[in-house]
Amino acid sequence: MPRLVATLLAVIALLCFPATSAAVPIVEQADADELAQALAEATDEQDVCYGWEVQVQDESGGPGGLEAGSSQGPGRPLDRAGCRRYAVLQAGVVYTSETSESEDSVSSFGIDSNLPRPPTTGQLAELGYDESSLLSEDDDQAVIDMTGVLPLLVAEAGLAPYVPFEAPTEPIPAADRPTDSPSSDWWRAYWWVAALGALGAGLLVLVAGAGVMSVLRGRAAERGPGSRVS
Amino acid sequence: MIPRSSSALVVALAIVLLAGCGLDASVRNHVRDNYRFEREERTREGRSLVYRSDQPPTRTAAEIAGARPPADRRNTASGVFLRYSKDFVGVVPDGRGGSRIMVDDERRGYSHFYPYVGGFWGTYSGPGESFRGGGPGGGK
Repeated sequence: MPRLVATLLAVIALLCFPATSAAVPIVEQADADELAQALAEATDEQDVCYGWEVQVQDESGGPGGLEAGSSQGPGRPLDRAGCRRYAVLQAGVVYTSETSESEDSVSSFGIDSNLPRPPTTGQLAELGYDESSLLSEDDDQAVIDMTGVLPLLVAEAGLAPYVPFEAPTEPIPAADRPTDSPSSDWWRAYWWVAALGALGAGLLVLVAGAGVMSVLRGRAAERGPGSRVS
Repeated sequence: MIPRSSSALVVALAIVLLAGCGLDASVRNHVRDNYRFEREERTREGRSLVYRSDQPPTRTAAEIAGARPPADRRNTASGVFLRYSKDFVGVVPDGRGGSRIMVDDERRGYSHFYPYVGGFWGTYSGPGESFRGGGPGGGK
């Protein structure tokens, strides 16, 4: 009986509060603060304003609306009127309920800019990010990286000076260290060799099996009619 | 009594596997073989090798990542950082339109690139005392 009650409560909870496919906000406050700060430093260096604007539509009824930030501050969509030059990552994402048959989707994706040769989504793709990144588990890092790299792309186009790389001048906190060692470099680069090997091994088993069957059939035929392959 | 076709497959499989074992996946070797060596920096954290490329940072990083796929990457205003199983690679502007490529071991790389990868690829107790998680594929 208690199990039945628990199951019923779970079903009611699922119907009343359907889970969405992605967390909102996409970029958490602490990260938004840091990203806005980095963009503000880039603006000081380059005289180009930067920002991100992600229109979130949650069809399951969850929180949606415009998630934005800029070199003018976290949570502040870029006020273009206050900028001589600007580049803003713009995207629209639609989250569906996990019970829905529809998939989450990206309704828009681009860079809004008044620069003569603005950064492009093609350049972001070369850096490992495209619109599908906005639907991935790491959608927050996608927004942070795609926005954060805009000043570098603007500098590479010769439109502004580079934002210099600055190594720490003091030792980092002793407790801080890299975590979660990545998988083998060989596997990432040459997974296809392993796949080819597995395919070859599978073929080998098939061919060997066919060979054995053929031999057995031949022996059965030698023994004459009525004998069976066992 | 192995069919001839099976023998041929065994030989082909052995060749594929042997050739696969000989393939070099080291990002250190790739950078060494394709870019101009500039200098070696030694610090208490370890050894950092510095190379140069005539291409801008994003293009250079894309080339390296294409040849040796990283486990994780960070694209920032000041450069692109790539993480491998034992190495960190930072590709930053050289001030002349090209790139400076820094190849570090894991520990040194984390310290060297801390303002950019801290909290993303490991623990972080920097400004704000926030913890941003870390690890390949784990995002922040």
